[in-house]
Amino acid sequence: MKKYEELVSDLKEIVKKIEDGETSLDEMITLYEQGSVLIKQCEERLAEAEMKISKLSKE
Amino acid sequence: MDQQTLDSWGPQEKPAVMRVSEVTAVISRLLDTPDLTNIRVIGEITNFKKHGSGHLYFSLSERQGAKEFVIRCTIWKTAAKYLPWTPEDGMIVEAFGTINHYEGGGQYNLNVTQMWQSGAGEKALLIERWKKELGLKGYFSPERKRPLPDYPTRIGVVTSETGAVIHDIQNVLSCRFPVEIVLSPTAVQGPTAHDEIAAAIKRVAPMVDLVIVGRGGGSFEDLFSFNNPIVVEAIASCPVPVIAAIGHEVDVTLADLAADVRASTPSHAAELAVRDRKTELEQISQIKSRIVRRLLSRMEQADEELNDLRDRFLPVRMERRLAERRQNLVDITDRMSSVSELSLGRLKVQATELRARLEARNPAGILMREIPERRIRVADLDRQLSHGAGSFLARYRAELESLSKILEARSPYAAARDGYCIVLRDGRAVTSAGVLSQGEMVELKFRDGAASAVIEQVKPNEEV
Repeated sequence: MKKYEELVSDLKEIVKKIEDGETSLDEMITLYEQGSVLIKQCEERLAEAEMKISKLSKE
Repeated sequence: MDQQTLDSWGPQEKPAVMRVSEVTAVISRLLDTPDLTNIRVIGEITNFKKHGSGHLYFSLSERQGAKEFVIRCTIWKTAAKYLPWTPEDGMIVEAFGTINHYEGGGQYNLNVTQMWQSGAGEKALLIERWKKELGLKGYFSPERKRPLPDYPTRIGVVTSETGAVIHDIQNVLSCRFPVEIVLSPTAVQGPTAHDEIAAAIKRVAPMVDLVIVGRGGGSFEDLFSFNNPIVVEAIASCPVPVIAAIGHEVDVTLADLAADVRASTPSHAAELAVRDRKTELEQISQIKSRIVRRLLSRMEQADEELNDLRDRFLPVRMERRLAERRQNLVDITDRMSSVSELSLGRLKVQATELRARLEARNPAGILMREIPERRIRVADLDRQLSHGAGSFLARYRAELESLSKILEARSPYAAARDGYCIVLRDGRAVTSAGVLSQGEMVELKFRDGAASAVIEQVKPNEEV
Protein backbone atom coordinates (compact mmCIF):
# COMPACT_ATOMS: atom_id res chain seq x y z
CA MET A 1 0.00 0.00 0.00
CA LYS A 2 1.25 3.44 -0.90
CA LYS A 3 2.15 5.89 1.83
CA TYR A 4 -0.06 8.93 2.31
CA GLU A 5 2.92 11.07 1.38
CA GLU A 6 3.21 9.30 -1.99
CA LEU A 7 -0.49 9.69 -2.67
CA VAL A 8 -0.25 13.42 -2.04
CA SER A 9 2.82 13.85 -4.21
CA ASP A 10 1.15 11.87 -7.06
CA LEU A 11 -1.88 14.08 -6.69
CA LYS A 12 0.21 17.24 -6.88
CA GLU A 13 1.86 15.95 -10.03
CA ILE A 14 -1.55 15.41 -11.62
CA VAL A 15 -2.71 18.91 -10.67
CA LYS A 16 0.43 20.32 -12.23
CA LYS A 17 -0.24 18.47 -15.50
CA ILE A 18 -3.89 19.45 -15.58
CA GLU A 19 -3.03 23.10 -15.05
CA ASP A 20 -0.39 22.99 -17.74
CA GLY A 21 -1.75 24.53 -20.94
CA GLU A 22 -0.15 21.85 -23.11
CA THR A 23 -2.20 18.92 -21.90
CA SER A 24 -4.79 17.60 -24.34
CA LEU A 25 -8.40 17.14 -23.39
CA ASP A 26 -8.22 13.34 -23.55
CA GLU A 27 -5.19 13.38 -21.30
CA MET A 28 -6.91 15.76 -18.92
CA ILE A 29 -9.89 13.48 -18.59
CA THR A 30 -7.67 10.52 -17.84
CA LEU A 31 -5.73 12.60 -15.31
CA TYR A 32 -8.96 13.78 -13.74
CA GLU A 33 -10.08 10.20 -13.24
CA GLN A 34 -6.75 9.27 -11.70
CA GLY A 35 -6.84 12.39 -9.53
CA SER A 36 -10.32 11.62 -8.27
CA VAL A 37 -9.22 8.18 -7.19
CA LEU A 38 -6.20 9.64 -5.39
CA ILE A 39 -8.30 12.28 -3.66
CA LYS A 40 -10.69 9.63 -2.44
CA GLN A 41 -7.82 7.52 -1.17
CA CYS A 42 -6.26 10.50 0.63
CA GLU A 43 -9.53 11.42 2.26
CA GLU A 44 -10.13 7.87 3.35
CA ARG A 45 -6.62 7.58 4.66
CA LEU A 46 -7.04 10.73 6.72
CA ALA A 47 -10.45 9.69 8.00
CA GLU A 48 -9.29 6.21 8.87
CA ALA A 49 -6.06 7.23 10.55
CA GLU A 50 -5.97 5.77 13.99
CA MET A 51 -3.49 5.94 16.72
CA LYS A 52 -1.73 2.76 17.63
CA ILE A 53 0.64 2.56 20.51
CA SER A 54 3.21 -0.10 21.01
CA LYS A 55 5.85 -0.29 23.67
CA LEU A 56 9.33 -1.68 23.35
CA SER A 57 10.75 -3.67 26.20
CA LYS A 58 13.68 -2.06 27.93
CA GLU A 59 16.01 -4.86 26.98
CA MET B 1 -7.73 31.12 61.33
CA ASP B 2 -10.09 33.46 63.01
CA GLN B 3 -9.48 36.52 60.90
CA GLN B 4 -12.12 39.21 60.93
CA THR B 5 -13.27 41.56 58.25
CA LEU B 6 -13.84 45.22 59.02
CA ASP B 7 -17.60 44.75 58.63
CA SER B 8 -17.81 41.94 61.10
CA TRP B 9 -16.25 43.92 63.92
CA GLY B 10 -19.48 45.59 64.72
CA PRO B 11 -19.63 47.10 68.13
CA GLN B 12 -16.44 45.39 69.25
CA GLU B 13 -13.37 47.46 69.89
CA LYS B 14 -11.23 48.22 66.84
CA PRO B 15 -7.44 47.51 67.06
CA ALA B 16 -5.19 50.52 67.43
CA VAL B 17 -4.02 52.08 64.21
CA MET B 18 -0.32 51.54 63.50
CA ARG B 19 1.96 53.60 61.36
CA VAL B 20 3.87 51.96 58.50
CA SER B 21 7.12 52.72 60.31
CA GLU B 22 5.87 50.93 63.39
CA VAL B 23 4.94 47.79 61.40
CA THR B 24 8.22 47.99 59.59
CA ALA B 25 10.04 48.15 62.90
CA VAL B 26 8.20 45.03 64.09
CA ILE B 27 9.16 43.16 60.94
CA SER B 28 12.76 44.26 61.28
CA ARG B 29 12.81 43.12 64.88
CA LEU B 30 11.28 39.77 64.03
CA LEU B 31 13.77 39.16 61.20
CA ASP B 32 16.66 40.06 63.43
CA THR B 33 16.99 36.62 64.90
CA PRO B 34 19.86 34.14 65.24
CA ASP B 35 17.88 31.79 62.93
CA LEU B 36 18.44 34.18 60.04
CA THR B 37 21.86 35.49 61.01
CA ASN B 38 25.07 34.07 59.52
CA ILE B 39 23.30 31.22 57.78
CA ARG B 40 24.37 29.00 54.88
CA VAL B 41 21.81 28.66 52.12
CA ILE B 42 21.98 26.35 49.07
CA GLY B 43 20.05 27.26 45.93
CA GLU B 44 20.14 28.01 42.23
CA ILE B 45 21.12 31.47 41.07
CA THR B 46 18.43 33.17 39.01
CA ASN B 47 17.91 36.72 37.76
CA PHE B 48 21.56 37.51 38.31
CA LYS B 49 22.44 41.17 37.65
CA LYS B 50 25.63 43.08 38.15
CA HIS B 51 24.81 46.67 38.93
CA GLY B 52 26.95 49.50 37.60
CA SER B 53 27.83 50.40 41.16
CA GLY B 54 29.56 47.01 41.57
CA HIS B 55 26.86 45.46 43.79
CA LEU B 56 25.51 42.06 42.71
CA TYR B 57 21.79 41.30 42.75
CA PHE B 58 20.25 37.86 42.21
CA SER B 59 17.86 35.33 43.66
CA LEU B 60 18.45 31.96 45.16
CA SER B 61 15.70 29.61 44.14
CA GLU B 62 14.58 26.08 44.65
CA ARG B 63 11.93 24.19 42.78
CA GLN B 64 9.79 21.49 44.30
CA GLY B 65 7.57 20.13 41.59
CA ALA B 66 5.46 23.02 40.40
CA LYS B 67 6.23 25.18 43.42
CA GLU B 68 9.15 27.55 43.47
CA PHE B 69 10.81 29.17 46.49
CA VAL B 70 12.79 32.34 46.03
CA ILE B 71 14.97 34.54 48.26
CA ARG B 72 16.33 37.79 46.95
CA CYS B 73 20.04 38.27 47.58
CA THR B 74 22.59 41.04 47.46
CA ILE B 75 26.35 41.01 47.54
CA TRP B 76 27.76 44.43 48.24
CA LYS B 77 30.65 45.71 46.20
CA THR B 78 33.01 45.29 49.15
CA ALA B 79 32.23 41.56 49.36
CA ALA B 80 31.87 41.07 45.62
CA LYS B 81 35.50 41.95 44.97
CA TYR B 82 36.60 38.96 47.08
CA LEU B 83 34.48 36.55 45.03
CA PRO B 84 36.97 34.62 42.87
CA TRP B 85 34.40 33.61 40.20
CA THR B 86 31.55 35.24 38.34
CA PRO B 87 28.10 34.00 39.32
CA GLU B 88 25.73 33.00 36.50
CA ASP B 89 22.10 32.03 36.28
CA GLY B 90 21.61 28.32 36.76
CA MET B 91 24.56 27.80 39.08
CA ILE B 92 23.87 25.93 42.27
CA VAL B 93 25.65 27.76 45.09
CA GLU B 94 26.09 27.90 48.81
CA ALA B 95 25.69 31.42 50.09
CA PHE B 96 26.74 32.64 53.55
CA GLY B 97 25.07 35.74 54.99
CA THR B 98 22.32 37.36 57.03
CA ILE B 99 18.70 38.24 56.29
CA ASN B 100 18.19 41.99 56.37
CA HIS B 101 14.98 43.90 56.17
CA TYR B 102 15.24 46.65 53.61
CA GLU B 103 12.85 49.15 55.16
CA GLY B 104 12.83 51.60 52.29
CA GLY B 105 11.73 48.88 49.84
CA GLY B 106 9.52 46.73 52.01
CA GLN B 107 11.64 43.75 51.15
CA TYR B 108 13.97 41.42 52.90
CA ASN B 109 17.21 40.25 51.37
CA LEU B 110 19.87 37.75 52.11
CA ASN B 111 22.95 39.89 52.31
CA VAL B 112 25.64 37.49 51.16
CA THR B 113 29.19 37.94 52.36
CA GLN B 114 30.66 34.71 51.02
CA MET B 115 29.57 32.30 48.32
CA TRP B 116 30.80 28.99 46.90
CA GLN B 117 29.79 26.93 43.91
CA SER B 118 28.32 23.69 45.12
CA GLY B 119 28.63 20.34 43.37
CA ALA B 120 26.08 21.41 40.75
CA GLY B 121 28.23 24.38 39.90
CA GLU B 122 30.95 21.93 39.11
CA LYS B 123 28.47 20.06 36.96
CA ALA B 124 27.75 23.26 35.08
CA LEU B 125 31.46 23.54 34.40
CA LEU B 126 31.47 19.93 33.22
CA ILE B 127 28.61 20.69 30.83
CA GLU B 128 30.58 23.64 29.46
CA ARG B 129 33.51 21.33 28.82
CA TRP B 130 31.32 18.71 27.11
CA LYS B 131 29.67 21.41 25.06
CA LYS B 132 33.04 22.56 23.80
CA GLU B 133 34.25 19.03 23.02
CA LEU B 134 31.05 17.89 21.33
CA GLY B 135 30.80 21.20 19.51
CA LEU B 136 34.21 20.54 17.96
CA LYS B 137 32.82 17.27 16.61
CA GLY B 138 30.16 19.37 14.88
CA TYR B 139 27.23 17.86 16.79
CA PHE B 140 25.57 21.23 17.30
CA SER B 141 26.22 22.82 13.92
CA PRO B 142 23.19 24.03 11.98
CA GLU B 143 24.33 22.27 8.77
CA ARG B 144 23.66 18.93 10.45
CA LYS B 145 20.01 19.71 11.10
CA ARG B 146 17.74 17.51 9.00
CA PRO B 147 14.25 18.44 7.86
CA LEU B 148 11.41 16.52 9.49
CA PRO B 149 9.41 14.11 7.32
CA ASP B 150 6.15 15.60 6.03
CA TYR B 151 4.02 12.61 6.91
CA PRO B 152 5.68 10.27 9.36
CA THR B 153 3.87 6.98 9.70
CA ARG B 154 5.57 5.81 12.87
CA ILE B 155 6.96 8.03 15.57
CA GLY B 156 9.31 6.80 18.26
CA VAL B 157 9.02 8.39 21.67
CA VAL B 158 11.91 8.08 24.08
CA THR B 159 10.70 8.96 27.57
CA SER B 160 9.55 7.55 30.86
CA GLU B 161 6.60 5.18 30.53
CA THR B 162 4.98 6.62 33.63
CA GLY B 163 5.45 10.33 33.07
CA ALA B 164 3.06 12.86 31.58
CA VAL B 165 5.19 13.21 28.43
CA ILE B 166 3.82 10.19 26.59
CA HIS B 167 0.24 11.20 27.41
CA ASP B 168 0.74 14.75 26.17
CA ILE B 169 2.18 13.44 22.93
CA GLN B 170 -0.65 10.95 22.48
CA ASN B 171 -3.24 13.64 23.03
CA VAL B 172 -1.78 16.01 20.49
CA LEU B 173 -1.19 13.31 17.88
CA SER B 174 -4.70 11.92 18.19
CA CYS B 175 -6.15 15.39 17.58
CA ARG B 176 -3.87 16.40 14.75
CA PHE B 177 -2.92 13.34 12.78
CA PRO B 178 -3.12 9.93 14.38
CA VAL B 179 -0.08 7.80 13.63
CA GLU B 180 1.58 4.82 15.13
CA ILE B 181 3.58 5.58 18.25
CA VAL B 182 6.37 3.34 19.44
CA LEU B 183 7.26 4.08 23.04
CA SER B 184 10.82 3.31 23.95
CA PRO B 185 10.77 3.51 27.74
CA THR B 186 13.72 4.77 29.75
CA ALA B 187 14.59 6.32 33.07
CA VAL B 188 14.90 10.07 32.54
CA GLN B 189 16.91 10.89 35.64
CA GLY B 190 19.29 9.18 37.99
CA PRO B 191 22.86 7.96 37.84
CA THR B 192 22.39 5.53 34.93
CA ALA B 193 19.72 7.43 33.04
CA HIS B 194 22.11 8.63 30.31
CA ASP B 195 23.01 5.07 29.28
CA GLU B 196 19.34 4.09 29.28
CA ILE B 197 18.31 7.10 27.22
CA ALA B 198 21.01 6.47 24.62
CA ALA B 199 20.04 2.78 24.41
CA ALA B 200 16.34 3.65 24.09
CA ILE B 201 17.09 6.00 21.18
CA LYS B 202 19.17 3.37 19.37
CA ARG B 203 16.55 0.70 19.95
CA VAL B 204 13.62 2.61 18.49
CA ALA B 205 15.33 4.51 15.64
CA PRO B 206 15.38 1.66 13.06
CA MET B 207 11.61 1.16 13.38
CA VAL B 208 10.36 4.72 12.93
CA ASP B 209 10.49 7.84 10.68
CA LEU B 210 11.04 10.27 13.52
CA VAL B 211 12.11 10.18 17.17
CA ILE B 212 10.90 12.44 19.97
CA VAL B 213 13.13 12.55 23.05
CA GLY B 214 11.10 14.04 25.88
CA ARG B 215 11.15 14.85 29.52
CA GLY B 216 9.00 17.09 31.67
CA GLY B 217 10.34 20.02 33.65
CA GLY B 218 12.79 19.42 36.45
CA SER B 219 15.73 20.87 38.27
CA PHE B 220 19.10 21.35 36.74
CA GLU B 221 20.10 18.14 38.52
CA ASP B 222 17.08 16.27 37.16
CA LEU B 223 17.87 17.21 33.57
CA PHE B 224 21.57 16.54 33.92
CA SER B 225 21.50 13.17 32.11
CA PHE B 226 20.42 14.95 28.93
CA ASN B 227 23.77 16.74 28.84
CA ASN B 228 25.75 13.54 28.89
CA PRO B 229 27.89 12.98 25.77
CA ILE B 230 26.50 9.46 25.38
CA VAL B 231 23.00 10.88 24.92
CA VAL B 232 24.25 13.68 22.68
CA GLU B 233 26.06 11.21 20.44
CA ALA B 234 23.03 8.90 20.27
CA ILE B 235 20.95 11.84 19.05
CA ALA B 236 23.55 13.13 16.61
CA SER B 237 24.06 9.71 15.05
CA CYS B 238 20.38 8.77 15.00
CA PRO B 239 19.47 7.58 11.47
CA VAL B 240 16.15 9.47 11.50
CA PRO B 241 15.46 13.08 12.56
CA VAL B 242 15.12 13.79 16.27
CA ILE B 243 12.91 16.32 18.06
CA ALA B 244 14.03 17.12 21.59
CA ALA B 245 11.63 18.41 24.22
CA ILE B 246 13.48 18.38 27.50
CA GLY B 247 12.46 20.40 30.54
CA HIS B 248 10.90 23.80 30.17
CA GLU B 249 11.52 26.38 27.50
CA VAL B 250 14.31 27.98 29.57
CA ASP B 251 16.19 24.74 30.13
CA VAL B 252 18.55 24.05 27.28
CA THR B 253 20.39 20.76 27.52
CA LEU B 254 23.08 19.55 25.15
CA ALA B 255 20.55 16.99 23.88
CA ASP B 256 18.34 19.91 22.82
CA LEU B 257 21.25 21.45 20.96
CA ALA B 258 22.13 18.22 19.16
CA ALA B 259 18.56 17.45 18.07
CA ASP B 260 17.42 18.36 14.56
CA VAL B 261 14.55 20.36 16.01
CA ARG B 262 14.06 21.63 19.54
CA ALA B 263 10.56 21.86 20.94
CA SER B 264 9.64 23.82 24.04
CA THR B 265 7.43 21.08 25.48
CA PRO B 266 6.49 17.47 24.62
CA SER B 267 3.11 18.70 23.28
CA HIS B 268 4.92 21.16 21.08
CA ALA B 269 7.14 18.32 19.85
CA ALA B 270 4.05 16.35 18.82
CA GLU B 271 2.70 19.40 16.98
CA LEU B 272 5.94 19.76 15.09
CA ALA B 273 6.00 16.04 14.27
CA VAL B 274 2.77 15.86 12.25
CA ARG B 275 0.58 18.15 10.20
CA ASP B 276 -2.95 18.95 11.18
CA ARG B 277 -5.40 16.53 9.61
CA LYS B 278 -8.01 19.27 9.20
CA THR B 279 -5.63 21.46 7.25
CA GLU B 280 -4.71 18.47 5.10
CA LEU B 281 -8.36 17.74 4.32
CA GLU B 282 -8.92 21.38 3.41
CA GLN B 283 -5.95 21.32 1.13
CA ILE B 284 -7.15 18.20 -0.60
CA SER B 285 -10.59 19.66 -1.15
CA GLN B 286 -8.93 22.76 -2.61
CA ILE B 287 -6.96 20.57 -4.96
CA LYS B 288 -10.17 18.81 -5.91
CA SER B 289 -11.95 22.02 -6.82
CA ARG B 290 -8.95 23.27 -8.74
CA ILE B 291 -8.93 20.13 -10.85
CA VAL B 292 -12.66 20.26 -11.47
CA ARG B 293 -12.59 23.95 -12.37
CA ARG B 294 -9.74 23.44 -14.75
CA LEU B 295 -11.35 20.46 -16.43
CA LEU B 296 -14.67 22.26 -16.80
CA SER B 297 -13.10 25.29 -18.41
CA ARG B 298 -11.14 23.05 -20.76
CA MET B 299 -14.37 21.23 -21.73
CA GLU B 300 -16.12 24.54 -22.33
CA GLN B 301 -13.30 25.59 -24.56
CA ALA B 302 -13.51 22.31 -26.48
CA ASP B 303 -17.25 22.75 -26.83
CA GLU B 304 -16.83 26.23 -28.28
CA GLU B 305 -14.28 24.98 -30.75
CA LEU B 306 -16.63 22.24 -31.87
CA ASN B 307 -19.55 24.65 -32.28
CA ASP B 308 -17.46 26.93 -34.37
CA LEU B 309 -16.37 24.09 -36.64
CA ARG B 310 -19.91 22.83 -36.97
CA ASP B 311 -21.11 26.27 -38.08
CA ARG B 312 -18.48 26.45 -40.70
CA PHE B 313 -19.68 23.16 -42.19
CA LEU B 314 -23.30 24.37 -42.76
CA PRO B 315 -24.43 23.84 -46.47
CA VAL B 316 -25.67 27.48 -46.70
CA ARG B 317 -22.21 28.67 -45.82
CA MET B 318 -20.66 26.25 -48.28
CA GLU B 319 -22.94 27.56 -51.04
CA ARG B 320 -22.00 31.13 -50.20
CA ARG B 321 -18.35 30.24 -50.33
CA LEU B 322 -18.79 28.63 -53.74
CA ALA B 323 -20.57 31.71 -55.07
CA GLU B 324 -17.76 33.87 -53.79
CA ARG B 325 -15.22 31.71 -55.51
CA ARG B 326 -17.11 31.77 -58.79
CA GLN B 327 -17.32 35.53 -58.73
CA ASN B 328 -13.62 35.65 -58.05
CA LEU B 329 -12.94 33.56 -61.11
CA VAL B 330 -14.98 35.88 -63.34
CA ASP B 331 -13.16 38.86 -62.01
CA ILE B 332 -9.85 37.33 -62.70
CA THR B 333 -10.70 36.43 -66.30
CA ASP B 334 -11.88 39.97 -66.95
CA ARG B 335 -8.80 41.44 -65.60
CA MET B 336 -6.64 39.13 -67.63
CA SER B 337 -8.22 40.10 -70.98
CA SER B 338 -8.14 43.83 -70.34
CA VAL B 339 -4.59 43.58 -69.29
CA SER B 340 -3.60 41.74 -72.49
CA GLU B 341 -5.15 44.38 -74.80
CA LEU B 342 -3.48 47.16 -73.03
CA SER B 343 -0.07 45.62 -73.10
CA LEU B 344 -0.18 44.71 -76.78
CA GLY B 345 -0.44 48.37 -77.80
CA ARG B 346 2.41 49.24 -75.48
CA LEU B 347 4.60 46.50 -76.93
CA LYS B 348 4.11 47.79 -80.47
CA VAL B 349 5.28 51.26 -79.54
CA GLN B 350 8.25 49.79 -77.81
CA ALA B 351 9.19 47.72 -80.85
CA THR B 352 9.17 50.77 -83.12
CA GLU B 353 11.37 52.65 -80.72
CA LEU B 354 13.79 49.80 -80.48
CA ARG B 355 13.99 49.42 -84.24
CA ALA B 356 14.87 53.12 -84.63
CA ARG B 357 17.59 52.82 -82.03
CA LEU B 358 18.94 49.72 -83.73
CA GLU B 359 19.05 51.47 -87.10
CA ALA B 360 21.03 54.32 -85.61
CA ARG B 361 23.68 51.84 -84.56
CA ASN B 362 24.04 50.06 -87.95
CA PRO B 363 27.87 49.94 -88.67
CA ALA B 364 27.45 50.17 -92.46
CA GLY B 365 25.59 53.45 -92.16
CA ILE B 366 28.18 54.74 -89.70
CA LEU B 367 31.06 53.94 -92.09
CA MET B 368 29.43 55.58 -95.10
CA ARG B 369 29.00 58.71 -93.08
CA GLU B 370 32.43 58.81 -91.51
CA ILE B 371 34.98 57.60 -94.15
CA PRO B 372 35.70 60.94 -95.93
CA GLU B 373 36.18 62.63 -92.61
CA ARG B 374 38.59 59.96 -91.42
CA ARG B 375 40.59 60.05 -94.63
CA ILE B 376 41.39 63.73 -94.06
CA ARG B 377 42.51 62.98 -90.54
CA VAL B 378 44.88 60.23 -91.73
CA ALA B 379 46.53 62.60 -94.25
CA ASP B 380 47.01 65.15 -91.48
CA LEU B 381 48.61 62.60 -89.23
CA ASP B 382 50.95 61.47 -92.06
CA ARG B 383 52.12 64.97 -92.64
CA GLN B 384 52.76 65.57 -89.00
CA LEU B 385 54.68 62.33 -88.78
CA SER B 386 57.08 63.00 -91.72
CA HIS B 387 57.83 66.48 -90.52
CA GLY B 388 58.57 65.26 -87.02
CA ALA B 389 60.73 62.41 -88.34
CA GLY B 390 62.90 64.77 -90.46
CA SER B 391 63.82 66.95 -87.52
CA PHE B 392 64.57 63.86 -85.40
CA LEU B 393 66.98 62.50 -88.08
CA ALA B 394 68.94 65.79 -88.31
CA ARG B 395 69.40 65.79 -84.55
CA TYR B 396 70.59 62.16 -84.46
CA ARG B 397 73.07 62.74 -87.29
CA ALA B 398 74.70 65.72 -85.53
CA GLU B 399 74.99 63.67 -82.32
CA LEU B 400 76.53 60.75 -84.19
CA GLU B 401 79.15 62.95 -85.77
CA SER B 402 80.29 64.45 -82.49
CA LEU B 403 80.43 61.00 -80.92
CA SER B 404 82.58 59.58 -83.77
CA LYS B 405 84.99 62.48 -83.32
CA ILE B 406 85.37 61.69 -79.66
CA LEU B 407 85.82 58.04 -80.54
CA GLU B 408 88.46 58.76 -83.13
CA ALA B 409 90.46 60.88 -80.70
CA ARG B 410 90.54 57.95 -78.29
CA SER B 411 91.36 55.32 -80.95
CA PRO B 412 94.59 53.35 -80.49
CA TYR B 413 95.34 54.13 -84.12
CA ALA B 414 95.47 57.77 -83.30
CA ALA B 415 98.98 57.12 -81.92
CA ALA B 416 99.98 55.26 -85.07
CA ARG B 417 100.04 58.53 -86.91
CA ASP B 418 103.28 59.46 -85.17
CA GLY B 419 105.21 56.34 -86.32
CA TYR B 420 103.86 53.78 -83.93
CA CYS B 421 102.18 50.60 -84.91
CA ILE B 422 100.54 47.72 -83.10
CA VAL B 423 102.11 44.26 -83.25
CA LEU B 424 99.61 41.48 -83.38
CA ARG B 425 100.18 37.78 -83.10
CA ASP B 426 97.27 35.57 -83.92
CA GLY B 427 95.07 38.68 -83.79
CA ARG B 428 96.20 39.69 -80.28
CA ALA B 429 98.33 42.66 -79.34
CA VAL B 430 101.88 41.76 -78.31
CA THR B 431 102.97 43.84 -75.32
CA SER B 432 106.34 42.26 -74.51
CA ALA B 433 109.33 41.24 -76.56
CA GLY B 434 109.81 38.22 -74.32
CA VAL B 435 106.75 36.42 -75.65
CA LEU B 436 108.01 36.43 -79.20
CA SER B 437 110.32 33.80 -80.69
CA GLN B 438 112.50 33.74 -83.76
CA GLY B 439 110.78 33.01 -87.07
CA GLU B 440 107.33 33.80 -85.75
CA MET B 441 104.84 35.57 -88.03
CA VAL B 442 103.31 38.79 -86.72
CA GLU B 443 101.10 41.44 -88.14
CA LEU B 444 101.83 45.14 -87.93
CA LYS B 445 98.80 47.38 -87.79
CA PHE B 446 99.00 50.96 -88.97
CA ARG B 447 96.50 53.69 -89.06
CA ASP B 448 95.88 53.29 -92.70
CA GLY B 449 96.76 49.60 -93.28
CA ALA B 450 98.63 46.52 -92.16
CA ALA B 451 101.84 44.61 -92.93
CA SER B 452 103.04 41.06 -92.25
CA ALA B 453 106.49 40.51 -90.70
CA VAL B 454 108.73 37.67 -89.51
CA ILE B 455 110.72 37.95 -86.25
CA GLU B 456 114.40 37.61 -87.02
CA GLN B 457 115.73 37.96 -83.55
CA VAL B 458 114.32 38.55 -80.09
CA LYS B 459 116.31 41.00 -77.92
CA PRO B 460 114.77 41.56 -74.55
CA ASN B 461 116.22 44.38 -72.39
CA GLU B 462 118.70 42.87 -70.06
CA GLU B 463 117.99 45.00 -67.12
CA VAL B 464 114.28 44.17 -67.09
